Amino acid sequence: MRKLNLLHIATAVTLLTSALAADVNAAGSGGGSSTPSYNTGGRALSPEQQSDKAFRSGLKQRDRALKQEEKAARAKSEKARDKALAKAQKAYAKAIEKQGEALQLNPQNYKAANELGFALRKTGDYRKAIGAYNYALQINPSYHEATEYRGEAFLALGMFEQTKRSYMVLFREDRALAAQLMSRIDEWIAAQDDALDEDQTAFVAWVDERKRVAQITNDLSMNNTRAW
Amino acid sequence: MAMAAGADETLWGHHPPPLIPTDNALTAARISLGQRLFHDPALSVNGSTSCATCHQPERHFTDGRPRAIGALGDEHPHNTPTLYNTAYNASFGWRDEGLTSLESQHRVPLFNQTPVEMGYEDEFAERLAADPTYVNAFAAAYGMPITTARIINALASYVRTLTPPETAFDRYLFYDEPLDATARNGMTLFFSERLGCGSCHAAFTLSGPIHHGDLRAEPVFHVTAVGGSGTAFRAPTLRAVQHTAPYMHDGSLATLEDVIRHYETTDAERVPEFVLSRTERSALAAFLRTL
Repeated sequence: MRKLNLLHIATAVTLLTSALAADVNAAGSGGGSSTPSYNTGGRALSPEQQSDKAFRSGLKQRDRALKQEEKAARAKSEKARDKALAKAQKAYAKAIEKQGEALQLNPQNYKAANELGFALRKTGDYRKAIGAYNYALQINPSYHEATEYRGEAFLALGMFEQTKRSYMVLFREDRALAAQLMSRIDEWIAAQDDALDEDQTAFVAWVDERKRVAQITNDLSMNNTRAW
Repeated sequence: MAMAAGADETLWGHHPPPLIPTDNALTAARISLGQRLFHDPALSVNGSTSCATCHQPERHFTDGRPRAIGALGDEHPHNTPTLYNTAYNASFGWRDEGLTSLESQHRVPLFNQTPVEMGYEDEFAERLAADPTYVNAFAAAYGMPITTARIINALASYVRTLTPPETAFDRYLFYDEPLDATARNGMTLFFSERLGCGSCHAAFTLSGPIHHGDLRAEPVFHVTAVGGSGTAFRAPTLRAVQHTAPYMHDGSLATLEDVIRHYETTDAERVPEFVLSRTERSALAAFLRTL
């Protein structure tokens, strides 16, 4: 069992390595697909079905991790908080394993790649997370959720130009996700305790400008639902 | 008329696909035929005038005149509007509430008698039937015979694809490219509650009400009081506005600065706070020139 898990992670890392070598700024518009449910009637599952099963198992681990994070936020003692965070990290590790497995079974499973990126990001492995998001976006350039998550990973690494480009893609294609990324950016700015360096200051000025533009051109999105 | 979403989204670049009548689905053959008809003076009473005579592509589908001149020399009471983004309009013409499809709108320049614009008659379709290349094009696009309805459908198919070129404002707004500081100040004024320009010239078309996707808006008309007129007009798109002078429904204002001054001096109740300093006036004009 231990060998199998390592194999899945090794496969995921191989995928990520190739994805990391690709253009980190690739992105596109619209799309997605629903998760099927099926009754195999006792027949063996196809690789795609097995991949989906692993994907959903990974989602359960992710949800488990998120619950532990919520628990940590509510914890009354440091010990309880640390315990919950440790459990969350353990669940994210399992999610990485499951999504790696899902990708190995079906390399076209871009949602698994996106979730792999999410779990990697939550464990602090931002570079590999970016590789996973790149991979997801190579398969489906219209999967904007990955663009938003990747923007958060860029931000965590202080890659401001890439963060800005992620925001602009979302601004064109999905204003709600653009606003979500901007909220994360606001949180990042609020969390900066030390004096900002030159790059950070320039980034904050850019953020102020784009927030102003987004606010005053609110109904100029390509998919607006304005009523006159 | 039943409408469906556009099929080939790439036709409209970064714009969302407009609604397309189910009985005039868009095809490459129809667009191509429509483009040819658009430039053909054979649709006019004396072979002098095509759609492109007034809607000149090189002038961003306007003619540079205050008011259009028809095939028989009649002056139209209105200025020739650009055809950019027409496909999205909730209504057509300057003030025709009942014109809610591009196909029905095309009957106006073809058949209008007061004034005569094209002076088209149904018999003119037979002129086209004498040209084998038209016969082939109609056969491919709609089938035969060549009829006025099919001519109109082809013209509407072509016009439906006309969108403005990407501008400095688009590149700033959607691609984060630099925009001159004066123009950015003008943008703030344009979208401010104080001036309210962006209230009527709205959405990605910077125009009055539009249709696309699930968005259905009722036609809206405003009294601009240009030339003392009490009539209400549709807010046209401001895309490429620097290229489409003269302005307003009657082409009576020669420059963008004239338009701004008009709104400063008009007693229209809609824009009571439209009072600008010289710097603000320049900024607003600079912004309009980026659209």
